[in-house]
Amino acid sequence: MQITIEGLWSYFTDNWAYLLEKTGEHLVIFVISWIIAIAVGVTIGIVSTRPGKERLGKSLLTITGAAQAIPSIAVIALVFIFMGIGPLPAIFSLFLYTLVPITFNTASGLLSVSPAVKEAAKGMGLTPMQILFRIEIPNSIPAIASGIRTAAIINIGTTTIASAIGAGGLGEIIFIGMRLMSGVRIMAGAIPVAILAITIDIALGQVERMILPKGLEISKNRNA
Amino acid sequence: MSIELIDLKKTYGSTKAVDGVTMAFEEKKLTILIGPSGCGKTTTLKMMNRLIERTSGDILFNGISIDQINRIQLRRGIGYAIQEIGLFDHMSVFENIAVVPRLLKWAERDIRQRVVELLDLVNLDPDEMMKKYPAQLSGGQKQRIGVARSLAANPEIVLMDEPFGAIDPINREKLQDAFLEIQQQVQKTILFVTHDIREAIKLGDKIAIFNQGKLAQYDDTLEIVNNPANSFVEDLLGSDRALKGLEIVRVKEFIQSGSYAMKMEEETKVSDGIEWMKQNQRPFVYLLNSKERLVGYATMKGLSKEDPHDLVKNHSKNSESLQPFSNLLEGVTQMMTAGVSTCPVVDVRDRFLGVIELTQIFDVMSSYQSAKED
Repeated sequence: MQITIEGLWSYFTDNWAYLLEKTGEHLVIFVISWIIAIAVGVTIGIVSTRPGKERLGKSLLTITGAAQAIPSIAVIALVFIFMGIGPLPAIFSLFLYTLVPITFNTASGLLSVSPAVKEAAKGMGLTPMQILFRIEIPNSIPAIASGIRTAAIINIGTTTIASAIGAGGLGEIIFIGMRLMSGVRIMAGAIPVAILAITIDIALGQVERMILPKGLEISKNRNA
Repeated sequence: MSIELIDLKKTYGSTKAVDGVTMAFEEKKLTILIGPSGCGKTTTLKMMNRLIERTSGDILFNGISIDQINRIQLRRGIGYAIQEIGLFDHMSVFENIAVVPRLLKWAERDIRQRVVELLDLVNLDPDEMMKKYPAQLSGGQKQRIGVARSLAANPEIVLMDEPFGAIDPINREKLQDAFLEIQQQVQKTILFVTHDIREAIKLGDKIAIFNQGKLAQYDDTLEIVNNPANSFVEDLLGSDRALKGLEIVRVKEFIQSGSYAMKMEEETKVSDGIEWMKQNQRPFVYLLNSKERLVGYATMKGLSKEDPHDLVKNHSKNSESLQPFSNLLEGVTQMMTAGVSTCPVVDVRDRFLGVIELTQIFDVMSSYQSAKED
């Protein structure tokens, strides 16, 4: 397998429309599965940690903690057995796989809000909803945001593998490259994936800093 | 607002945490709930803002059963402070204090004014403090903010669950002193849980002593110190009960206003001082400046050598003094430390009010002692 800069460059210039299309597919699959996973994961995290359900929340932590060790390919393969190939099974398996870190971090963030803080809030006359939205969630933003960010990175990487069950995306170029023993094609798929992952990680890092309440930023810096 | 507990009970399975407590709290007074852990004091407190639901009995606010009052409204109307403080880390000091007023939809201008007022009250600089976050505060400052927050919406009733429990002894004393001053100003009905009998005696107008879910004794602090109802209360008060009792008696009730001090004018000479002591048959004299402020003291021996004005220069910081609001324990400590049997009492501007004698304090102590023997 010969890979040269010139070879790679000519592949990019000759196939830019195709590359763009695959990048677009990749992004669509990622965004859809990621957004649904955020919605579902954060909801599960919240519901399972409501007062009186703390034990459910804690067992959920154990389960999702362990589930993070399941390899992505196993999830994709399982979904493939039940749903076959195409973008839909791909999105579903990516959703399942990304759900885990988001649920885990949301639940662990909410559970780590000190009982004293919650008791003070309750004793002062905040309703359960006000406690959730004004106290618990703002205090859990660091954990929740980092879960969502981790999930995004994992998702972008795993979307590549999901091409194996006909999802399309940049993984397709890599798989074709592997079959044709074409280093150039493999690189042509891998480089955009890497750039995508890094860019999104940086962007989400910025967002995370922006939404982090100032008081928590100060306490984080104090503890560091 | 009056608060009454009627045969209040709380059971967890077969454990009776609170076992039939009936009592009425006095308005605008600070009532201490005290007892060993598991005695039901905290459970009783938390039933009053329904953080814990009672099993039976009733709690009446102005005669109205707690069941008739919306739980959320009830809590917004009652101040609440806890040992762990529970400040909201993501909110500034201002926002922390503003939580309940905002829930009650106060105008933002009123809230701002109230926060400034409260920070002043707890002796913190409003301009400096308001924008800070909990992570930037010391333990004592956080505790003060916690107290300020519990008073934010100007509730008539404040529940406090060991609010100074986690503070080191030195800062704790300071906070207690500050807290007493605050209560004198705001006059809230405060129910204060503690397990520290010294704190109870120092702060409480009344003390309710709990034992195994029941009320062991409930009375004025002085009455409890003087006449413990049973051996449990006596043990709780400890063997140094008489000394502790001194802490609730203020110096102002014992000020002797006889001739103890001499006002110094420009022309006052040594011989005037000696003459004064001879005339009043005293071995010493407190020296006051023209504004009646205590500036020092002189003894016969000291005066024979020096001119009283020099003496003032040399001894100006040397004279121990008490204030009317000091308690007798502070008085006795100060006199013992200085090795004197008389101590001058001055007001906040250092103006001389009179003296207090060690023998008077001993009289108070022996009255506690004899009460015990009865």
